[in-house]
Amino acid sequence: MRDVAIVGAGMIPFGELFDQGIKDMVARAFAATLSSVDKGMRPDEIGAAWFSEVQSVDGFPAGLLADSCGLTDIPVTRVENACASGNDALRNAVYAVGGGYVDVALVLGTDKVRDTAASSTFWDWMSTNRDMAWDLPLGLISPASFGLHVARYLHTYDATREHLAMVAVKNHHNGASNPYAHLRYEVTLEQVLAAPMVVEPFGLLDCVPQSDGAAAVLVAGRDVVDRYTDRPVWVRGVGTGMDRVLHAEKADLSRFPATEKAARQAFTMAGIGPGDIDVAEVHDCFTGVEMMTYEDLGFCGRGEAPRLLERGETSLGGRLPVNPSGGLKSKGHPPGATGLAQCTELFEQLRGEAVNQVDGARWALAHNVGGPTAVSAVTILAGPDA
Amino acid sequence: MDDRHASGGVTVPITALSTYQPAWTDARGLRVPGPDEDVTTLAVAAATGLGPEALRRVRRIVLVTRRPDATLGTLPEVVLEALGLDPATPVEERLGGAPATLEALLSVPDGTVVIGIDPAAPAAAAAALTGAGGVVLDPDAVVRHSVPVRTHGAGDAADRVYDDPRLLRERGWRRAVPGDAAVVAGIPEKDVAKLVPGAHGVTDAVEAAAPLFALARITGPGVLTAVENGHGVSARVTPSGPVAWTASTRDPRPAPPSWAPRTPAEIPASPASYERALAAKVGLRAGQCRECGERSHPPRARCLRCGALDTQDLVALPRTAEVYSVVTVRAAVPGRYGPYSLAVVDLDGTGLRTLAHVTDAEAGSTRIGDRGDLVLRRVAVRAGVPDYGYAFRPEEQP
Repeated sequence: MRDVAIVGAGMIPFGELFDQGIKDMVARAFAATLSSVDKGMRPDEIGAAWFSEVQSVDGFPAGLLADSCGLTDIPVTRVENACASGNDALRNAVYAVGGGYVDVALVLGTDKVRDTAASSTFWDWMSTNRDMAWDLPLGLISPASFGLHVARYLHTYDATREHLAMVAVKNHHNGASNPYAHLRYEVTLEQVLAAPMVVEPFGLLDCVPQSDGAAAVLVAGRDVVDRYTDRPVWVRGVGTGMDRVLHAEKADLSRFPATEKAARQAFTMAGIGPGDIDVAEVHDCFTGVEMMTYEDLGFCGRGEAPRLLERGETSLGGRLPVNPSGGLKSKGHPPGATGLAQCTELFEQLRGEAVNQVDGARWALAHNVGGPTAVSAVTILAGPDA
Repeated sequence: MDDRHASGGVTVPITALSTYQPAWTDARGLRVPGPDEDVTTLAVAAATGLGPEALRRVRRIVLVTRRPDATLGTLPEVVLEALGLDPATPVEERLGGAPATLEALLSVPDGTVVIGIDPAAPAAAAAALTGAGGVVLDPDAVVRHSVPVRTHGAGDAADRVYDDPRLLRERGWRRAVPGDAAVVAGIPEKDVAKLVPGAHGVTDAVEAAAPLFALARITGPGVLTAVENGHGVSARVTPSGPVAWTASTRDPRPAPPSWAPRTPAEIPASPASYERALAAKVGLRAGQCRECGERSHPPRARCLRCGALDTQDLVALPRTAEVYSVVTVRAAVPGRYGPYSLAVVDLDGTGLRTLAHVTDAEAGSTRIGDRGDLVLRRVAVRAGVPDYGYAFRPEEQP
């Protein structure tokens, strides 16, 4: 197996992109990613592509990528693994490039949440995540699905809604300066706590916005990396963890076992531990999920995540800044694009080019958890100097 | 008296009675069904109150209601599954009010449960199991005149009422109610006293459930009359022993003016999926592996512990539970009333859990650790078809 590096990464600004169809977003993210390659890359140098898309809104997904990007001469595969699709698609590409079957691969993710009316979007997207007989009819909407975990966490440990609000304040602060973020404004603790309730314990400002967007990375095998850049970002670890799909069958809702498993795989592959990570992009679809994830990733012990927030350790300037991009919370969350947008941010962080640069960042981690909290993907990246 | 005809019924003993009232009340203070209740769930609620011992003796079911919410679909099958009865048990659906229920009782053999279901305010349901024991009913008389003061066209939203109370009383009720009636079901209690001084009425129900509520309050021998417009059926009631009687009535809670979703939406449905899940979902059963004993809820094709395939038998789960985690959905969800709470609950003594909506309680009032029971409710209406499952009903605080 050979080393694999990210040699290019790009995205389009996330938002309610009513003026762009999914094909437009895909083409633009592809162009942005190609142009990010230091020494340039021609489309015909790409040997295979993986397309991360959770919900198909404009027909056949893999063909849509091939057609929009002019890549009809290479194999294209759609990856759908709920909100973990982006980092999981990257894992598939890393396997192919690392295994020597392909020298250069494109991993592109997108979703078009706002092409359907709010009312029908809800049930259309629910049915990708819920059991038709057992939990779909109950109205287990996504914030409730994650909320059952966070409610149990708040019951078990010394944590309150104020801690959740701290996540929102931190991530909005980071995202306010990110030109690619959907919600570019700061919020105060008081505003977060006073926002209308969506699903207790989450108020409106504890939840991600509904965003459209696209993001992509180009990965290359060690022996061809030099053609594209002298500052590659190495993919050192990948992992995808699963869990039981029905909440009633999850043994302990105060954690996300899928994340623990994905992290274990990725750290083992990378040969490092959580203490080595300098910067992380963590799945904060709902504020409490980021908090709980500190523990599942091993950034701290059980029950200690609220202390990290109280001490500002995951803020910019802290010991381990989390979501310098603004996270899903501020940057937005088109599910298929999310993991690749995280990798785009970390690509820039590890090359010293990020808007909210973490000084001297050498190791970075990207994380998603999704679906009925039953899948997680973790990617561990190392900078050119690591 | 010349319009009274001897009833053609038979002598019927009643061994167990159960009455049920929804928790919710309308602006007049009358009980109304919750957003997850319908004729089916009301019938199950009433029959469940008879208790597992009585239900084991059921050989036949007669469902009586004036207001069925469907005339084809899910009712008999769901009632049988929810009560854990043999699917071959005959289920008869009768259309009618108070007289129809009494007529049903006077025509059935031992081991029959007659369930009267009133989904309109005052909403109620009640069940009586025939068999040796408590009270004996003897047919007395039947009166039938056409006095169509209150009518209901198929598909109508509300009853049509010809506004002449004295016509109804003098030409309908007065001829239908005998002078020796002790309890009268089917007409408002205040009107009973005007017709027969000293007779009692029933306040909790006025249609098909009413005669069973009346039976529950008879303490000595007397005539029970069930009335609807100009139709009256009377029976002689003779207590001969104790009737096992349970009443399920929670403290009243004001219902909102409407349970309609803020935004209408069609919830996707699959009758194939519904049919596969029915026995485990409506019967609240787990799959238990014949090889290793492992239980799964819902059942699985492949045993989680030993890997055996297709070795699961369905076994009943307990219907008492404790909240493990709970959230309250306050955002408007298309196609659903709200706000609503969803809970993962530990099923007592099983190590198994289930996800259920919280019912008969104010959204947001339920906490981790709260105890309650699981009751059959209509969890959703999908593509026009009711979808039944279990809701968590917290214990009432004393």
